[in-house]
Parts: sequence; C-alpha cells; structure tokens
Amino acid sequence: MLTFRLVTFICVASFLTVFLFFNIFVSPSAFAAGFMDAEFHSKTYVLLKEDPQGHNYRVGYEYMDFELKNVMKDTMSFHSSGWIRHHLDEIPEYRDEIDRTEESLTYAYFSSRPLKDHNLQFNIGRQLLFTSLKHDYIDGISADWGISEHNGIFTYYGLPASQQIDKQNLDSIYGGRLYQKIKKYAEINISYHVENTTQHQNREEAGFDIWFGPINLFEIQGKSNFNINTDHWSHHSYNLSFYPLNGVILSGYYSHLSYKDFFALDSLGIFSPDYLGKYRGMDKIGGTLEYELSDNTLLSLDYTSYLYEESEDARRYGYRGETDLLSGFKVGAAMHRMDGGTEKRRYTESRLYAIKEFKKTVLSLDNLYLYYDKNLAGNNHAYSLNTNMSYLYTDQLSASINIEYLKDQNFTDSISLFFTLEYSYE
Amino acid sequence: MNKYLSFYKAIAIAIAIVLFVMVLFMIFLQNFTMNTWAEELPVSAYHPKDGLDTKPKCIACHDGITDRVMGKPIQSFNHGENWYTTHKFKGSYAINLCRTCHAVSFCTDCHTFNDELKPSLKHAGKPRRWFPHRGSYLFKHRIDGQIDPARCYQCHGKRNNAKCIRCHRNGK
Repeated sequence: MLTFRLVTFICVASFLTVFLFFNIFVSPSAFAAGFMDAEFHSKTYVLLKEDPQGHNYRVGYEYMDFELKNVMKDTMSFHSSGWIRHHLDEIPEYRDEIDRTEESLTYAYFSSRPLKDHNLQFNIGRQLLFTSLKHDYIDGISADWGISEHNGIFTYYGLPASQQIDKQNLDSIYGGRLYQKIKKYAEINISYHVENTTQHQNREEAGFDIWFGPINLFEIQGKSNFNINTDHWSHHSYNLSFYPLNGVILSGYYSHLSYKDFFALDSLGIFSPDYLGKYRGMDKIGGTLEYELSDNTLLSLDYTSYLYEESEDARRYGYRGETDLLSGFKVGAAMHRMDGGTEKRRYTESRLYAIKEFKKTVLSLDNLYLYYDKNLAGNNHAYSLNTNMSYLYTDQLSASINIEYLKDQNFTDSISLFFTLEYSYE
Repeated sequence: MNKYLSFYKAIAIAIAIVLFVMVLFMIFLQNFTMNTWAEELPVSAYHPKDGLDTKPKCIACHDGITDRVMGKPIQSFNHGENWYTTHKFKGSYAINLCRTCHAVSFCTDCHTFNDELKPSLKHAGKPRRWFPHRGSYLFKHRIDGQIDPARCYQCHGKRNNAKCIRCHRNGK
C-alpha cells in the first residue's frame, strides 16, 4: 500500500521537476511564448489567540497552490495544493496531542487529455473525487471518457488519502459512473462505489442521479443511493427549482435519510447507528424563495421541516436580505429560528453585516447573535463580533487583519487576531 | 349530493384546463424563444471576471428565461441562497463549467481533509459567503448535529475529525 502511494508521488514529483527544469534552465522563454501557463498562490496566516485555560497561542500557517496549465497545447496540466503549520510557542502539556509543526498535502495530480477533442481525461495522483455517491480524496488514478456528446463513463481506483476512521484502515477505493443525456431535456447517471478494508469489511454502494428540465422555467435534480451491504436505500435527495421570472427562484427540496444504512460502517463513533438509533430515519422537506428586488437588493425566505420516525419533529425558518445603501457600501441581515423538538434544541440566530469598499481597502463588520431557549448557568446568549480590514497593494499582493471577539453561552469569551498575507502569480 | 359533486367536478375540470393551457403556453413560449433568440452557450476555458468579485448572478449578463449552458437553464447556475444546497448536483455533472472561474483550490477550501483552519476564518473578510461555522460553533454544533447529523457527516464523517475525536470518543 505504501509502495503504491510512493510510486504515485514519485511520478507526480518527477513530472513537476522535469517541467520546471525544462522551463527554467533549458527554455526559460517557453513561459513567455505561451507554451504553458503557471499559477502560484500563497496565503500566509498568523493567528494570535488565548484558549479558555489562559494559554496564549501564536500560530503560523502557510497555504500554497501551484498549477501548470495549457501544457503541450492544453493536453496536460498539473495541480497541487498543501499547507504547513507551526506553533511559535511551546505547546502546553494539556494539549500534548498536538505536534508543534504539521503539514498536509491536500492534492497533487497530473492531468492528461491525450485526444484531440479533449473528451478523454486521466488524472494521476492525490485528487478530489466528486461524484453523486462520494466526495473524497484518493491517491490513485481516475479517467473520464466522454464517449459521445450525450454519454460517457468515469472510473477511479486508489487509496483513500484520509484514513481517519474508527479502528479501520481502508485498503482501496474504486468505482465508476455512467452518464447519459437525453437530448437537452434530461440526464440520468448511474454510479457504483466500493471501499475495501483490511478487516474484510467493505462498503458497497450504488445509486443514480437525475436532471430533468424540458423547459427553462423549471428543473428537477436529485439522487438516490443504495447501500448494497444492508440491502436498503440509504439516502434520497431531490430538488425542484422554478424560474418564473428573471431574478425569482422558487425551490423545493425533499430528502430521506436512513441512519442504519447511511452511517453504516464508515463512520466516526459519534455517527454510529448504534448511537444515533438503528431504526431511525429522517425526512427533510423545505423550500426557499429568492427575489432580486433590484440589481443591488436581494431578499430570500426559507423553511425546512425535519420529520423523524422516533422523536419530536423540528423546523428551521427565516429570512436573509442584502442591499447597497450607497456606492460601495453593502449591508445584510438575516434571522433564523431553529425549533427543535425539545427546549434544548431551540435557538434564534440573527446576523448583521456591513462591507465598505474604498479604492484599495475593504472594511467589513460581521455580528452574529444567538439566543438559546435553554438557560445554561443563568445565560441564554452567545455572540461574536468580527471586524476585518483588507488592503490590496497590487493585483498580486494583498494583506488583511481580522479581529474576532467571541462569547459563548458557557461564559467563555475570547479575542483573536488573524493576519493574512496573500500573494498570487499568474 | 350529486349537485355538490357536479360543482366540485366542474371546478376540478376548470383548474385542469387552466393548468393545461398554462403548460401549452409555456411550451409555446419556450419553443418560440429557443428557435428565435436563444442559443446554447459554449463553455469557454475562462469566464470574464470583471464585476465577479461578489456572488455571480448569471442573469446580470445573460437572459435567464431563454439562455442555456450545458443544456441547462442559465438561471440555475446563479449563486443564490439555495446554491450551497444545490451545487452538489451541479458539481457532479458540470465541473468543467465550475472550472471556468474556480481553481481546484477554491473547492478544497471547504471540501478538504486534515485541515485546521475553518473556511469562515480563512475568508473572514467575506461575510457575504455562506459558511456553516461562523462565530463560536462549538456550542451550537450540539444542536445542529442532533437535528441533522448527515450535514456534519459529509465533511467530518471520515475527514477533518481530529478535533471531533478529542471529545467524541466511543460514540459519545
């Protein structure tokens, strides 16, 4: 398993090295001649904060993205991203689970489109899978072949990049997806996904997703997943959107979740069906109405019902509005009510924010207030106040400072400073 | 009794006729506009970014009633209030359209694993963007997690759960 992962990264690293060597030492004018496009983004963060035990933290983060695109007449590209974090102070003993320095490679893959019409694409390396059954990172290979304008196939095989799973280590992930368009009116896609574990337990799923929109006035989209191990449907999720006028969107959605089948096997302990309830299920029904009153003013209303098989139902509803008061000055407000089945599951959340844009400076203020129905130690309130100032030095370089004050219901209040330096090269 | 039945029957027929006429009108309008003005918009490699520093509204430049892209109504790609719910559908079959504006790292800001900075902190200066963990989410997550555990599971079921494990041991 380690060997396969090592080989993958050696391939990706070799590709990057060869191309950088070629362009820097052999033919440095290739970039200028448009032979390829390189993009580099760097975000440096410094966080200063105090934890509830009174210990001060000074933490530095560096996030980097690097891309090579348009290589060999746009038949190849390389994409990578990762981060490193370092605590500037010694870690206190009660937080001994934290290493002072940590890093992670988020993704790094080589992409190839060998055919002239670009309808076949291979990705090799660490990559994000995004299918109707799963979104996950794998160290492996994926291939997407558009057989014709109306249909195609997508397949993948690899090792899971994240193996944080309770007492289980996954061996492999593989699966595929067949997609078929029916003229311009509909699409139907069939997916299959398998995760094998060293303990000979596996998760095997199949599903389909659809899109239907014969006219521009509405569309229906959704998916259904079937857990082959438990032999039951685990999840249905469908959305209907209606577009009666420019700037008006009316949406309705429905989803059904079977806890036993959805959370089976591959879950953190807290998501175990044994804990959540083996025989429980949930139906979620709701809708939103969005209305753009003008180019600068938006209003939306939303309502969601949570219907449980074995406990009290809940609902969440509220509104959000946003407008430009003056040129470059935006204000927004939102309020939502969560009505859970019991008092301790009820709260009201309100939010008010403002953004003022100057020539090179952007100021923002964001206030969040929560009122919990359940009184805890004589307190029902929690709030946060966030102020941010960004300054754009050039199109490539910007800096910002952020100050956040938080007060929770259990009387812990904290203030943190967050500095950002962002650089991009394109 | 029969009189009332006839009355309701007449109302039902009238409503059915009205709905049928409306559907015919919609189809006529659709075909008329599709044949005369609307064209399937191509997916270009890059989308012009001027004026797109905020949530993109496709209908600011395109006609929301007639224009389509990737065979779908252009208005369905508006990044409005419901976008965070529906973008999962679009992302699975229109990823090339997403790529015209967004780099891969844009997706992985939220769809990440083993990350320590929550998205709302990395983008603290963008209050218009929707993020689930604004403010101090530690207290509120106990309620949201019980109401809809699947929402947490999508990101923390297998990934990004190092912090979760500190408290949630043995399924508690």
